[in-house]
Amino acid sequence: MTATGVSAALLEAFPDVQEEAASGHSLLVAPVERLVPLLEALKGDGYTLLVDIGMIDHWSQGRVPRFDLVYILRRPKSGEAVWVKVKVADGETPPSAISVFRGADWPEREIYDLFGISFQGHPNMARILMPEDWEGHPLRRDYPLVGTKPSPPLARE
Amino acid sequence: MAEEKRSLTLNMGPQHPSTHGVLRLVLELDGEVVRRCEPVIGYLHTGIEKTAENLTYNQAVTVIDRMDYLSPLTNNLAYVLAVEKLLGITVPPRTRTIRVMFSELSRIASHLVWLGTAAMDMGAMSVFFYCFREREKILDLIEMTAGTRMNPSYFRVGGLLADLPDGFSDKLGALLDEFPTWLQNYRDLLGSNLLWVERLRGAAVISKEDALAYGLTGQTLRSTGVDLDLRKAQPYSGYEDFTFNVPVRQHGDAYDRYELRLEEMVESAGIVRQAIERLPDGPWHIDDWRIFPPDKHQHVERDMEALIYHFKLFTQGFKVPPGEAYQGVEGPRGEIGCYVVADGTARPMRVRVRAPSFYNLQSLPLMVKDRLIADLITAIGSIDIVLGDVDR
Repeated sequence: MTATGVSAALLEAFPDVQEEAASGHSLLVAPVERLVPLLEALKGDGYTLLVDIGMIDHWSQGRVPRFDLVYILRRPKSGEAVWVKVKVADGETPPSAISVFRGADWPEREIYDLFGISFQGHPNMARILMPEDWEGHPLRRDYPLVGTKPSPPLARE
Repeated sequence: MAEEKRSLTLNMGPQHPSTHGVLRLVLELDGEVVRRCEPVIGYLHTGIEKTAENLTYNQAVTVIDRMDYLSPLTNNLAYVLAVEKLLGITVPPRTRTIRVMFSELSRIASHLVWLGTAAMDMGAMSVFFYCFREREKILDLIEMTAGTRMNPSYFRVGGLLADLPDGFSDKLGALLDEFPTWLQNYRDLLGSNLLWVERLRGAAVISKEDALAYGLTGQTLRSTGVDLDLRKAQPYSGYEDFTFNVPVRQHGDAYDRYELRLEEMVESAGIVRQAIERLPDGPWHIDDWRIFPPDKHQHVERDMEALIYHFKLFTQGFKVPPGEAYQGVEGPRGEIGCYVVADGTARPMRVRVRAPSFYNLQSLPLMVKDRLIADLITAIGSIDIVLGDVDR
């Protein structure tokens, strides 16, 4: 299968978006403020299926900005994929992609829950997997695997 | 006398038998009509992604198994292929074919559980017994090969846990010969059952645009007329060498999904037959002791160097060069993807799993809005969620 990739016209319209080399898919690195317009344009370019939103914490390498936010989209016809990567600093609030892909709702909540990055304009930025009263965000690399604190007593005296 | 019209908020689950695990739904009902439905998930969250970051690459295979526990081998496949991409290795043809064969067997096993439980939700008890009886025969084959029924961890980075045992192909052949009768049974039990057909037809409808925007994959997407199947569109593990069809339907309702799954089982059985018939001879793992352990009897017990490799591999694991890779595979429920980021050590820095059930469940409120509560039960059954996959 020959990957045709993102259309040239789209890339011209976004001069601040860099296309980087990757095997098996196209990879676009975008500044955070251009994220939603870029996703909108990619949707217009045929990438109508939102496959996933993932986040990677580069804390252990001491990288600044600390997080990588990755959107994976697919063309439903050919199955070819494009990644949009956005670098996000701790405490920064990237815009929510719900206006473009309704399905961004739960993955964004999951990222908030597990990494503590909240999305601007999300209607319900609440925890989704962890209990509501959980402290901390477990998938951060500096969150310990064991020994956070003793488990609470089952019943109050 | 004018009565005040009020809606009723009802909590369904997390222990309700028709929620297929521990799904909790908060429903706002107007009589029997669902006005709002909010899934509450996380009851089965076990932090598998976090756990995997703290295991070596080969140890992580065992926890990846436990997400979608009805089809552990497709989870394995996504993860193993992603790590192999990072290492830049290709496995021998025999390994690829065995992987395809077991992926398809577990797809059939998973669809059988779906068919049995979805029919039970509608009150058709007997289908469940037939499906589980026949699924057990597939699990027997997996047990025969990998030693365990449910979480076999059979695919390993660079190869498999073991080669196929003696007598495997005879047993598989007998199963494949029986397979058409199984399917005929299900069609007789359900396809001509008016209750089943009427309850599924027109229930849990979703449009093509919504299905794409919500990130639906698998039969839920293909029931709306989109023929995206990663086995065809972006082949992996040698799927391009097999002949099979991707069935597609247009209505986007629960009945279409039922038909798609039955047809997919036929296609899967066809792939399994092709795989066993032209199974290549040769090695079933790569020949690199730094990644795949040397054979115990042939090398480890005779050769000091092999013993050292063996020891290092099981105490420290192998190192993976820095990089990131994503591999999506077509699981029984849709695209299951593994996104692995390596930082040069023997443990993955991040394992992100794109769980099909997580995205499919997200569309449930849309499918059941302003429909009867009975249709809600149909809808949960028709999207075929596994809560271990949703919550990870």
